[in-house]
Amino acid sequence: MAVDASAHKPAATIDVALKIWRSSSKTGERELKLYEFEAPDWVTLLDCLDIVKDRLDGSLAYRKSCRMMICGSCGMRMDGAAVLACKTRMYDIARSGHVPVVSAMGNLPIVKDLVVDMDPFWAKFKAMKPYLQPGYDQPEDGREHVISQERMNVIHKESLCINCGCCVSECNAWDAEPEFLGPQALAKGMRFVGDPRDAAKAERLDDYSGQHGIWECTRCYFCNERCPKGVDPRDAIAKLGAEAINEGIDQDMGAKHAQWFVTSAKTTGWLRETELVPKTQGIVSSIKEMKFAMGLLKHGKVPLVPHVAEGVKESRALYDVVKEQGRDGALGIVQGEHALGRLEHAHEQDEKEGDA
Amino acid sequence: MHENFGVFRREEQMQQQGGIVEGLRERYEKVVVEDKGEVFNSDLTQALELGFMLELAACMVVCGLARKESRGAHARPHDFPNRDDDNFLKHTIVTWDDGAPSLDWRPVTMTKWQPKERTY
Repeated sequence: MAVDASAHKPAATIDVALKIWRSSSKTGERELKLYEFEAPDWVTLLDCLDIVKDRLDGSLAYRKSCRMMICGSCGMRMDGAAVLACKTRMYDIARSGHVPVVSAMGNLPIVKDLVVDMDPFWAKFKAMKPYLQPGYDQPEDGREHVISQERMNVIHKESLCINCGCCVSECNAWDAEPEFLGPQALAKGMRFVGDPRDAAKAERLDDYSGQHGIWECTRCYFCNERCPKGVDPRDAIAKLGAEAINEGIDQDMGAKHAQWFVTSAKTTGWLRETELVPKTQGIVSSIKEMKFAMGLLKHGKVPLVPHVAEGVKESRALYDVVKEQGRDGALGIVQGEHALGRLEHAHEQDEKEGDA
Repeated sequence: MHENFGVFRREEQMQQQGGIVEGLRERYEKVVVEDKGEVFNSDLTQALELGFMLELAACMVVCGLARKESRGAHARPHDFPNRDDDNFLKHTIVTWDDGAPSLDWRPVTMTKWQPKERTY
């Protein structure tokens, strides 16, 4: 067990320069401050903040705990994009001579420096009832409810969430409408909707389909892009939408809008835009859009007879495949090879259960 | 503490660490909290925690030196490699007396699981 002391070589170092948006807790006044220091070459952004606080300015405020991408405390922005400070290595940045700008997360009120008030975040989180609601299919007394790994794999990505808030920080829909449930809460919702033990699926989908729910997402994909844990909240929201429609919860305009795309694709192969507005908003509300419709007509955007696409057969075949394979729910929302693998597992499992 | 007071301990390293902790506790008397704010003042909480950690370190030094045996995560392979139930099958209790740790012992209540040597 003896450690050879001579093995301790002097560590290689890098020169780091950082600009940090400081923010006063009293006045809210903001100031961009530059910090320069020497650091070991392995440092992360979080290590750098520790160095700043220890050596340069003890008044710097930021959240941290685990230092290893588990706790979700150190969400912040670097050069305008949300990151976990503990996941962000500084070597390449420092060596390139770039001076990154570090600031607090977006969409949440700043308390001080890099610390934001997470209350709005947790309020949405709680609104999702983020706990299993047992009901039907109870195991025998004294038995555990055993769920196969394959079934849990279906909600694997959603289960990875560490509540860091990076997706909320970047969410464009939240920026426009702060009442929006947001990517984190909805991903958490999918984690329970997709859990075979949860008995409140329909109730949840109904809840989540409200005014500021599933269909308020603008599909900008910023949450997928910036999530440091690969949760892909936008995919989760798409799954919720698909599951809601499958359950017949389709009264929201967003759901109707989505359904019209499907109808268009299977009937004409084109998007039948002329009918999109009345099908989404209803006839009465569409009348208000008459002026807009007349404009479209004037520019030849309103064909009097819907034209049928040449490859409509392919479009219809695709629709049939989706129906046949039962992929019109969450299982149809697939991105990447990895997810496809999980999908296969889920089907195999269902077949096994069906045989039993 | 990381270097001198891990699982595998040597008498002289523990002694040396005692001196280091003493020195740090003296320096701590003059600790400065740079942040004078009242909101999210982690400078203050860290200073408080440092004080607690230094007190705890002082307790660990006293305990480690007194327990002349090897047991669990307290291993002294160089001077006391074996467990010594005759003298040390007892809890170590440290109280803070007059700014210094004061050592005491308390008997172990044994019920279903009898202590035995770990041989695997």
